[in-house]
Amino acid sequence: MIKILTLLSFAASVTSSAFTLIITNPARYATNNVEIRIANNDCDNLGLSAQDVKDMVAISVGQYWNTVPSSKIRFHSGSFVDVAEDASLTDMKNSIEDNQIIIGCSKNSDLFDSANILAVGTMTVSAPARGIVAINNTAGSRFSSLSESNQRATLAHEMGHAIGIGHSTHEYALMYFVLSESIKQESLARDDSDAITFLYPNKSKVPFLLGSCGQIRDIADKDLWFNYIFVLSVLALFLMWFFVAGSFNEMQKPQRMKL
Amino acid sequence: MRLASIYRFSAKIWPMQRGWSNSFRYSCCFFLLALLLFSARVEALMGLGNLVTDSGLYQKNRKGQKQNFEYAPYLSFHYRWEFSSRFEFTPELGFAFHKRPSPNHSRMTFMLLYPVSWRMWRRHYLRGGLANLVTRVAGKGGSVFMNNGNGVSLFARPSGATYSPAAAAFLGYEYRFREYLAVRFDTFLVPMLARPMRLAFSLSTNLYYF
Repeated sequence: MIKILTLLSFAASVTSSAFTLIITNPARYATNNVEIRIANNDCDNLGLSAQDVKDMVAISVGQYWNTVPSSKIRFHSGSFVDVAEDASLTDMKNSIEDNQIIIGCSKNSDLFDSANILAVGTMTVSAPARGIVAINNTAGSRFSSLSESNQRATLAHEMGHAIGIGHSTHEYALMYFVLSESIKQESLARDDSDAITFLYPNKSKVPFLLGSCGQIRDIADKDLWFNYIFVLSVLALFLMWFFVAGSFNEMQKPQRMKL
Repeated sequence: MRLASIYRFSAKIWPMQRGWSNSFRYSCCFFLLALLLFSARVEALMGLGNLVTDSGLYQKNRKGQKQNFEYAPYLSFHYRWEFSSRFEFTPELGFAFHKRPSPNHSRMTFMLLYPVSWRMWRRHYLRGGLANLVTRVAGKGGSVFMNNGNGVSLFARPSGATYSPAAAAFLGYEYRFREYLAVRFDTFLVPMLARPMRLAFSLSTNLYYF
């Protein structure tokens, strides 16, 4: 009975949730342009070279995470980094600098105790942020049996974990917890977009367009109060003119001549 | 001459500003607004419509098809400043209410529009200008057990709200049945100064209310 109740409560909680986060307040990358380092070891059991992985990552970020206009964060694939072929997640994390993500193959049997695990993605719990994505390169790994588009989707899914996003219950979302051949993952779903927007929203230093007629540019935080004063004074002018114009309009109405 | 005096005036009342170019920009704004305000007749309007954001960007089903239309009713309030018989300035504040993605999180879009309308011919108006679209994503917090590949793990639900602003340029068409009733269609290019860009559309009915 308890098992049934647990399953029911689990089902109820799953259906009522959309995107989630890996922890309540994950570490954020301190830069808007995050470099993805590629492990320099070939994925021999998958038939992929390090360069193949790098190319796949470049296409993957362009197809998925770099397409969200309401998020400030962008990814680009960077240089190679030396990592042992049976590296653990900690080894991979220690091979990169802060605010970078590493993607590479691993034969670590502790990490991949089953061939069904395609890849693993995670990030550091506290700042400074570092992201890790390990692809299962053990013998018999199912990753090699995936189509190229699903391999890219898998990498993008794990990158989602590497920036702090958890799983989603929307079955056509990239962060859905199961990869199925019946789901064609061509792009992000709105749920994925909400997740990355929630974690990495655009931060405009200029609060309104009224603050800058010429161009939008970064203004130091200490100057922000000036923008707010400007906007408030413009709004006050609007309101004042509304009352002035209202009475002016009334005056302009044609008066009936008294005969 | 007048511009220079306004600049000097603004420099006196806002002494913290640094650099001539920034001051000049604010002075231009001040000048344009002053010009606008003292030659205008004003009316207040209310609009009801539908806003489609991120058209053709996100996946909507298992087949990989993109979402081109979205039902997101919006309510807007705006002023109509008639500063000549052919030109109007209609600053607008709008709220678009998107379909709630789940009981635990919500999404909303605030719009600030600064359009200039040009009366092309009789009841036909062409309008365009700048806008701010602010996306709000909010969650109630908490945690949930979810499938995590081979097992079940605890994941956190989003807690609090974040706001993501984006500057936009837009172009629209308006048809006025009466002076107090109009239908308009706007096309937005968001964000205006960054990549990737997206298209957003709005269709609305506007009512003159005082």
